[in-house]
Amino acid sequence: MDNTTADIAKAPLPTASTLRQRQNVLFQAWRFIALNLRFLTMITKGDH
Amino acid sequence: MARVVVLGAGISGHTAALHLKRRLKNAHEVVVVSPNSKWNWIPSNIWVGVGKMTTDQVTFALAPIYRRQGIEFHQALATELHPQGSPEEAKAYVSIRYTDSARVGQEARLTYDYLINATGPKLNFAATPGLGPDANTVSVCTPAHAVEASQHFHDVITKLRAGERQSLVVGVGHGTCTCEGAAFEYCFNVEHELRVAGVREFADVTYLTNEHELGDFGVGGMTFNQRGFETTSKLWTESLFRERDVHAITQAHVEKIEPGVIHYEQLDGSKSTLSFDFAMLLPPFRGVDMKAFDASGADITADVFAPNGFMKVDADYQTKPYEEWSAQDWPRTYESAVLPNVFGVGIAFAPPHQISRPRTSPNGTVIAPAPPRTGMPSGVMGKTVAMTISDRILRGAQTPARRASMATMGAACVASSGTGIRNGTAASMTMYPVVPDFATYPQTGRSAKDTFGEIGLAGHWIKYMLHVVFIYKAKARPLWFLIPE
Repeated sequence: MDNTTADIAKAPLPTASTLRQRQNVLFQAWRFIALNLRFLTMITKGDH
Repeated sequence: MARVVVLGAGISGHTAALHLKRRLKNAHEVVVVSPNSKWNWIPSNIWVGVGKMTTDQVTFALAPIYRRQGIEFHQALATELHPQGSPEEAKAYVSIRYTDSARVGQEARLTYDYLINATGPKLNFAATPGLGPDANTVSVCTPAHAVEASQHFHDVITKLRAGERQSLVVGVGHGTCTCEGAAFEYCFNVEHELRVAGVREFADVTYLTNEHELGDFGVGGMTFNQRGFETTSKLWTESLFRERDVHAITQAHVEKIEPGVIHYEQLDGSKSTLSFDFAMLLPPFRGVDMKAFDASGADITADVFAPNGFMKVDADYQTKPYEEWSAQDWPRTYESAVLPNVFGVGIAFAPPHQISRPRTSPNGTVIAPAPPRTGMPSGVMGKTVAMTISDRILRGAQTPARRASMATMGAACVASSGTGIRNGTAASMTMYPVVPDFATYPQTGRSAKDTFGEIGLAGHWIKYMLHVVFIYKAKARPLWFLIPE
């Protein structure tokens, strides 16, 4: 049974603050570094 | 002097060829056979498909790169594999048919000591009547397809600007498709561009997928740690759909497509139709049409390749129920199950089974996403096999194979939309390992530390960085080999 439409309607919406944070250049610059480090950790942990 | 022939110059084959040449230098021959004259960074085709990049930005000519590297290049299609030679040729060889304008249709034989099958997928539009650029939908699988998709998409925007309501459908065109992540990314690029064009309110955007639920992505879904809570990729993805007002239809097998109408069946057996003005539906994949023959000329294709055309390697292909699937089923060395010195990598190897739980409708229709094995895993497989072959050439044929299982390998998926420094956003996901290993990670099958999702501008920058870095690497620029796969 496909309940997707009902599930989407119940899904949490991001707050205005979260939406701002997602586009804030300074915060995202930090996330850019953090995400790259996490990617590198994940890559080196596995077969590569 | 040993000769290594690489069939295919996609992410896996091209990576293998460059690493082989780096290690073997000019003491041995590396030969690449590809029907395409250009290399394509496929992840960026998504941006071509909405008109934000040109084909020149996502492709480059292979011949000059191979000339500089000392790699022999044949623009040709591999048609037959003769691993024991034939009465006319004692050595193992592959038959090819040229596709370049100077030699189109001409045939030749290439003998080999080692062979890598990295031929990628055959885009099987024929599996669904009416699917594909030659019929009623568009695709972003190749640069040419993506350009056509962009033209259709901009026609839709023109109609929307004229006040004509339009229905756009993005997703997969068969119950056994893979690459749901790419369809998801294109869907949100389309949605983003509609907003930028100021016409979003007049457009209905629907994501049509064979996934059992949103966030499955053909890998059985993921569990993320977010701000101290475990979140499923289902809830995380549904939130994005709600925020962007994108409709979704899951558990769907597209049966046929007529002009403007998609006919689909869902897992409960119900059959429905969906009208569209624009539809980008990815095709299912199958292996390329290559045959194999023994020394006497007898057809051994069924021994070498699975029924779907992918090459059988060192995986456990025994049929067993989902509950008995194991990380150990997945191949580690990618050596052919029956042919010595032959390897199958990237999309060309036959996976032992899906990663997501396969399901069948009451009508007997299989609705089961095929396992994704593109991008990073493809590159790692290509490099691993190149290292195995170069080890064996340099240190002796008995040198053990290197290993890289998708059950001990991570992958990243960055679904980005928009362009420019400040105007983009992306859903970034990583998982480790790609194939869940419940023996090592009993709770979710994956490492909680290395499996995460995040939405924001940073992911968009990463996607653009990957575009630049991987094209740099594929062009074999200085120190290219330091860039991880």
